[in-house]
Amino acid sequence: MSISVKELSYKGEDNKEILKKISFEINEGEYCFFIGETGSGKTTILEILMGLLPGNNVKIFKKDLFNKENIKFIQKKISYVFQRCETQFFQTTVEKEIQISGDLIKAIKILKLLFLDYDEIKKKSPFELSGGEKRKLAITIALLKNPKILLLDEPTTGLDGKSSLELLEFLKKLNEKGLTIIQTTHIMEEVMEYATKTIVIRDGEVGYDGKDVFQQEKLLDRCRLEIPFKMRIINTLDKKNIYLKKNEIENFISEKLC
Amino acid sequence: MLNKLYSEKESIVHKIDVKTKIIYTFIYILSLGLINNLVTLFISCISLIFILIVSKINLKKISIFIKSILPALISIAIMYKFVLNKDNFEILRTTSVLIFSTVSISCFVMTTKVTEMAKAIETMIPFKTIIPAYEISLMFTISLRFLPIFIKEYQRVKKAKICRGIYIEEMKLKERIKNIMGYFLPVFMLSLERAYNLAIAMETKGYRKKNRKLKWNLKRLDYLTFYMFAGYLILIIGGR
Repeated sequence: MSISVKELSYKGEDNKEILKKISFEINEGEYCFFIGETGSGKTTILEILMGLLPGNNVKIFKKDLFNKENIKFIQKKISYVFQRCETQFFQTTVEKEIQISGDLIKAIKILKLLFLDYDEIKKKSPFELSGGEKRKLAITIALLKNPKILLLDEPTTGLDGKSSLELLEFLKKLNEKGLTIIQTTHIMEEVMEYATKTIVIRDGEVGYDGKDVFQQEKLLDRCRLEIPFKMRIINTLDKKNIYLKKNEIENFISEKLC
Repeated sequence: MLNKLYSEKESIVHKIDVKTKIIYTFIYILSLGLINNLVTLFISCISLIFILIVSKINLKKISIFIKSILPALISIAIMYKFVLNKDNFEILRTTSVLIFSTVSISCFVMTTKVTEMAKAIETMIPFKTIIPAYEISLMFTISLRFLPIFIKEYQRVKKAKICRGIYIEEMKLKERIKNIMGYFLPVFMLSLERAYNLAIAMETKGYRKKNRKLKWNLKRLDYLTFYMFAGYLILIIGGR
């Protein structure tokens, strides 16, 4: 097991309770999604898992995260890409940024897989890059650490449709190679396509923890999350005892329509 | 940040005109220079305590300000005693002056809204045809608004450093100084971006300089407090 959290609570500014005794477990090699309304506490969970905020009862790699002897060891095995990823850049050029982070050849390879030309951007300031380029660079730098767990806070925000798809497919390949990925999102299509586990956070509590989140229609509705069209059809057909997989749904509709 | 410190209360100090409050605070701090014996020190202390009681502000909040200057107070006291060989009254006088000034300024900040403060500064600036008073007060308000953002950005950059495996507390002094650039660059770049966005937002909302004529318009209460303050000054000069 990669991560084990038991009755984790967190109080923010003005003593406001952000997380209320939440518990969950994430296994090694899982692609876990945290979903929920804005302000429900998703980012706080990621920051606690990275050891950036104080917490309690968090075990990563069977070690207590908040033990002084363990925290740095664990932090070195986890990478975290912020939602505002530009705060993670410190250097004047992309070249320098990569140099201080790790292996240049590996970085060029990752950037290529993310459809970003290193030669084109190496002399630019990382703050000058477009939103999508910044995010791809931040993910590349995060991966240079050779992490065992990758934490991503809404990585597709600000990306166009194709770039989002490319990024998620790339992350899926990494996950298939054994990297544990924990991601927050509002986009339910991403959850439908890539999640092996979904945790719904509602008002600082775990509303749902499992693999079949789309069966929880009422909970998702309460969290202001919309079930994707494909999934709604599958759920409707399920009720009529017609069982279809996600990839079969398009053929089924076209057959019925034509 | 200053807005957070402001505490809404129904008190005479809250009701006094901000302009007069600025003048009183300024003159009070200057008057601390007149302290030369225990009597004048006592008068200044008692009058400050009186103001604090009348203003109904939370004394716990005041202690935050005093805590922040505590290291400076201790080092001054040690320096006066062992390096400059000053007598005990001199040490008491210097530390008291520092504490009284800090408390009086914090009392002013805690009883005045930032917007009112900016408006008062604009009113008080003379020769408005030559000095850009409106711009100065606007700059003052915006810079105060930006302070907490600066702090938040700094904390975010600190977190980002940890994510990249850079622990500043583990570094040697030379490396630490080298790494400071790594803090300033993102904080300033992001703040510049914010400032640029703010400028655009103000432009799109049609924000223009207001040609307003600000008057002093002092109330009866302000004149009343003037007599009380004059009384304090007479007492402190008489006590010398």
